[in-house]
Parts: sequence; structure tokens; C-alpha cells
Amino acid sequence: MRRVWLALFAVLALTACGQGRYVEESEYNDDFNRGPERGSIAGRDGLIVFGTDRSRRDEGGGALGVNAFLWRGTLDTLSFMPLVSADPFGGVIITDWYSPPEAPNERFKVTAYILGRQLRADGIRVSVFRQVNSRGQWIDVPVTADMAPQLEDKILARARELRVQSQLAGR
Amino acid sequence: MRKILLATAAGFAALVANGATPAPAYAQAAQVTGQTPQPGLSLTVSGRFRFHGAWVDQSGDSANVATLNHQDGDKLAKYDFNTYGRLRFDLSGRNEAGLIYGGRLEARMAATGGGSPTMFFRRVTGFVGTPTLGQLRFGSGNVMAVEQMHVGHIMGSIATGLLDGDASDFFYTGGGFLAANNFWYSSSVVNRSTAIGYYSPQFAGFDIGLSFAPSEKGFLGDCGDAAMRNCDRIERVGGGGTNANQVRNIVDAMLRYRGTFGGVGVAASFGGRMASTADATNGATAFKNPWGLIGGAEVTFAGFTVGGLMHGGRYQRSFAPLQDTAAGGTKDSAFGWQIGARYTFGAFTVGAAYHELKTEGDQGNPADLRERGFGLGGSYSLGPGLALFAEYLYSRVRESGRDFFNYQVGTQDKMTANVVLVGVGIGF
Repeated sequence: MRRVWLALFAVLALTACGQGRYVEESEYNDDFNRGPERGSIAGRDGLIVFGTDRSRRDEGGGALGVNAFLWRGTLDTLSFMPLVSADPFGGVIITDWYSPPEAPNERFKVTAYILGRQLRADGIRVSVFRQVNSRGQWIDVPVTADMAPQLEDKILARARELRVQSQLAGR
Repeated sequence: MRKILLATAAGFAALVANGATPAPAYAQAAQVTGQTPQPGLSLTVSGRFRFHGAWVDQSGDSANVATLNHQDGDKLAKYDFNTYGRLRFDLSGRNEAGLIYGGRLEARMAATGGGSPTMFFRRVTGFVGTPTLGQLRFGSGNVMAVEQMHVGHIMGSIATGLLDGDASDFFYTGGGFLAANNFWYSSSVVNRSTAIGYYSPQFAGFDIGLSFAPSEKGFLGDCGDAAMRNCDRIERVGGGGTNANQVRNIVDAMLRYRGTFGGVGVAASFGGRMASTADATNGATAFKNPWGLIGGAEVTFAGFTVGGLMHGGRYQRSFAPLQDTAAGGTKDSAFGWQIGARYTFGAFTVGAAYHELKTEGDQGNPADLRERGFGLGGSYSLGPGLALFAEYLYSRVRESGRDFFNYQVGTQDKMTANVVLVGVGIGF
């Protein structure tokens, strides 16, 4: 039992010194939330009498229909390209064709889909389109297989960074 | 041309790698989070309603000896309906400095009182915390660390909770019947003590919980009772024939780990509880200080969860203390374990779990009280907050040589039950 106490206090000291993640209420055992019912007739966490739903701290819901960190992370990552449309409720961002300055005969277009309200590794899906100008006509050509995953990783990294910053912003 | 194309693709890839120029961090955070770190307060009301139909075949459902509460010829039917409801009010807020705070008030129907059941407060809890320091909790319910952080109680997560769920309300227990549904670490009366607790942030997958309750009583306590020994603050009990079994100074400590490895989720917990009992004097019966350790783990992959736990120490059912001296029986240990599995696919969840528990039981009887239970259940989500569920439960409790039913001729030292439960649940 003494060793248990020592181990627990060691972890406590680490958490006090480091930048831990706040553990939400839903991450603790509660027989009220246990059971066959998934969600609620009145919305995920019940009837909101006043205020706004604060239980989705990690999702950063607010006015968006999708995870706000992924949304902002996608906009940040693709900000070097012109945007055609950005639907915050459907979670779709579509860029216009973009030609790198050093290669005006080549252009790229990106479509990003944010899937859901949770910040998850599979919560972003990116499609990259590429065309080259051949005799005055733009022709579709393949994109390297790792380009879309690279973009997704970049967006996820930015989203996680924003989430950490939001948690620390209250200091 | 090919070189230019590859170079250009590499150039685009480089632009991707470099990304955009980030805006100032705080402003970004404010835009992204909307509500946080924006200060404010919110109140949410939620609830649960369940309707059950059950078929129950249990030991002790008929009498052939007259007692104070039985007549020769009494017999119970094997089927019934019941309903159950609970309400919860959640208050949560955040101030300008980033302090997170709130409270919870939960009321539910009493298990007894078939005509007009009363509502009682099940949990009254407050919390205050920060993202970097964790949170302090205080109140009755949702505070004691073993209950809040144990991992591996798969049984409680299938349908209504199998043997830790709604079926228990159908058992006739007034005559001494026991079902294998005693889980001291779960959300139960045992964990309703008025306590204070600290819960840390999660660091590298680990977090801890610590709690302290000065007595086993909850809410307003019981010091209005005429008997001094029923007051929360009782420290010493005197007088022959009186039990000094009031549990005091309850300390919980738990360590939990949660992580993901290549799509496989892993969770584990370890910790325990220790407490003292009131002192005995002038012929009062003394009890031993109870303590228990509990450890469990779960693995989740592609909707499939497997887990289990073990617990043991010095306690009776419901973490009650053992007598310090006994006419018979020299052992004073408890041991229990559980294993289960659950699978979620689409709107369906199915699962099964098995558990065993050994405690001393009647300390005047050399044999141990041995319980084993099995549950199989499933649920189907018809929509947000609406679900159908079904469970089959088997329970067996035995203590050789102990007569559990004084309203039946002979010695009944084994109790079994089979239950089929179906129902509908609504959450709002």
C-alpha cells in the first residue's frame, strides 16, 4: 500500500509540473451515462436551460457544425491557396485552382472534409487534384500518393496545437 | 518536362509542409473555441426513463413456515412490469481566469414503494478546477476515487448493466435473498459518502484520483437520530450487544492509464480503499478496519471491448467491515474477479460478463459466502435517446450450512435466480 501511495504522489508531482490535459466529466464512471440509450432526445447532453453547451470543450462546437479545431486548422494550413467555398456546418472547404509561382503551367486544387464534431485522427479527409497545361488545355494528372496524407497530418497537427493553446489560454 | 512536374509537385509539397503563417496563438484560440476560454455559465437538465418487463425465477419465492412477514402458502409470480426514472441538473461554468466550476444535482425514484415511490437525491456534487491543475470535487456521489476511476467493469456497460443494472429491482429480497449483484466499487450506495476528492489532469496517458470521506454517511448526515451511534460523527461505541461497525476515515487512491496503440485502445487502473471503524468499549462488538485493492484493464479495437478486473482485501459485501472476533471462522479476506466482452456494430451493442466473489459471510459459520453471476445482454438504438434492450441473468449465492430462508422448512444454503429482462429506455 505504501508503494501505491508513492507511485500516486509521483504521478501527482508530474502532473503538477507538466502540461496535462484536463479530464472531462464524461471520462469518469457514472451510471447515469451508462446504459442502452445513446445520446438524448434533446441533444447530446440534455435540455439547455440557459447558457451554451460547455461539455464539448474538446470539440469546440459553438456555431460550427464540425470540430472547430479541425476547421481552423484546415483554414490555417490551406491559407496559401484561394478559397472557393467554406461550409462550417457541412464541414467542407474547397479551394480554387492554385499555381505555384515557379510553375505557372501546373495547378492544384484541394477539397477538405471535416468529419464530425470530435478531434480525431480520422476526422479529416483531404483530396488533392492536379492539372498541367498542355497546349493551352488543362489536363488532369496524378498526384503523388502521400500528398493528401501529408496535408491531413499537417491539419491534425495544427488542430492539436490550437486545442492545447485554447486550454492554456485561461491562465 | 517530367523534372519540372516533379519539382513543382515537390514545391507544392513544400508549401504544404511549411503551412500557413500562424496567427497570434491567443487570438486563434479565442476564434476556434468560441465558448472557451469565453467565461459564462450554463445549466442543463437531463433524465432517464425506463420501462421493464421481467421474468424472474428465484429461490425463496414461496413460504411454508409462518413468520412475522410470511404465511404458510405465500408464493410469488414469475413476471411483472416496472418503471424507473431519474433527473439530473448540471451546472457548469468558466470565469475570466479560466477557472472551471460547476455542480450536479441528481434525483431518482426509490427502489421500494410500489404505490407512489418517493424521489430521493442520488448525487449532490460540486467541482472546481483548472486545465493544468486538475479538479477538486466535493459532495455526495461522483466523488470517491475507486468508483470514478476503476476500469474493467464490463458487466456494468452492457444493456442496463446486467447484474449491476435494473433487474435487481425485481428480486424479492425481504426474506433474506441475496443475488450475485454486489459490486462495492461501482455506482452504488457504498459510494455515496459525503467526501472531497482531487482528480489530476491526464499526463502521458496517466491520471490519478484521491478522495477522503470522514464517515460513510452521505448528504445531510444522520445526527438528528435519537441514537448517538447513528450520528455521522460517532467515534466510539459502548455497551454490550452493540456493534461498533460504523466505517470512518475512508480514503481512496486510484491510478489510471488510457492510451491508443495503432488503433487499439488500452485502459488500466489500480488502486484501493482503506478505512477505519468506530472504537468499541464497555462490551461493544469491535470490527476490523476494512481495506481493499482493485485493478482492472480493458482493450478496445474496432468496436470490440474485452476487459476484466480483480479486487480483494478485508471486507464483507458492500465493503462492510468484519467482526474483530468471531465464534467460528478464522479467515478474513475477500476476493472477487470479473471478465467480460462487448461489441458495438451500428446501432447494436451486445455483450456478456461473468463474475465471482468470495467473502466471509456469516462469521459464525466456517464456510465462505460464494457468489457467481453471469449476464448476457444487448441493446438497439432506435434513435438519439431511444433504445430497446434485453438481458439474461444467472445468479448463484451459496454459504454451506447457513439457512437463508426461515420461512421455508429445512436449511436453504444456496440461492439461485434466472432473469429475463426486456425493456425500452428514453434519455433526454
